[in-house]
Amino acid sequence: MTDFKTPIKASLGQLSKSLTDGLRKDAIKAGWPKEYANSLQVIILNGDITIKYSKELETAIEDLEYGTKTIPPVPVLRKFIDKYTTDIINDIMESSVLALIKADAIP
Amino acid sequence: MSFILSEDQALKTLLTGITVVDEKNASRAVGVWFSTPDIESRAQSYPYMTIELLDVTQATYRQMVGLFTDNDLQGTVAPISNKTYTYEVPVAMDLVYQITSYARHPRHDRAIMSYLLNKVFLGKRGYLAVPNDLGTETGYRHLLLDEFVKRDTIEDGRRLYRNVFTVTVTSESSVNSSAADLSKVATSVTINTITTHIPSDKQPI
Repeated sequence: MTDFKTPIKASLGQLSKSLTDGLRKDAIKAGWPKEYANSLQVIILNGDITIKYSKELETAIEDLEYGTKTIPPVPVLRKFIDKYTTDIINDIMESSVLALIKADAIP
Repeated sequence: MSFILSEDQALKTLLTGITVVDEKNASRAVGVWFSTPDIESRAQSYPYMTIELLDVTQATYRQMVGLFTDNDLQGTVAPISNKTYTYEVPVAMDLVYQITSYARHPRHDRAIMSYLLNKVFLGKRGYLAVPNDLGTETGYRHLLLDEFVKRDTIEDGRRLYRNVFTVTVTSESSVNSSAADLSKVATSVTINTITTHIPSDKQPI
């Protein structure tokens, strides 16, 4: 039985890393403090994109994202998900096809 | 139609007029503001909602190309007999808004949440009525609920109930935007040189 999982996981791992870098850059560009931006991490699991951040910074990060009573929102996470959802699905599809080709499942 | 201005106004119109009930007031109006109300200039009275424009993106997934022909330039100029306008299909755009509701009273919070989720932001089936600049026709846009999060908090030792709705409004760029925009700009300013009605303790400049 050909192993498809390993190359796809590796490909998604690289994709997660590059997306995490992009997200952190977006956050810094939007004016988020570096400490908050660098705690963000993009996880791709079962085709879903999730953004994780440290529990300690949860309130501060969500206050930035959604704003508070006195501070307007500075959305980074929602914009990022909107921007990259299609790209990520395409990347997952592409890596799956590449894995099939590498395994000679597709001539 | 005037891109962004029309949608802003339509969204405010849609949210204005909501009332909630409590033991002291059977019809308490829910205020609606663009962005966060300035505490210094305006007394904040709960409950209220804010509208924030978060993002403007090109909606390439539903872009069409071609030419339109009509007699009012998509409702931006009054029709003239026997005159028609031909123009390119506008650029499809998506406007992303955040609507936040604030309440001190749990019942107000639930009432607002219930109303918005049942009557206004109906998942992917909501719509926004946007009248054209001439006020002759109304276009209906998709009003899609992207996310709903509860962000209750404690402020000054009191509960503050907050609901955050992220919605997308489908839109398009203004047709003949230069003409549409100019119609909104003052082209001349007339200064009243004869000053009257000046209070007795003030001097004219």
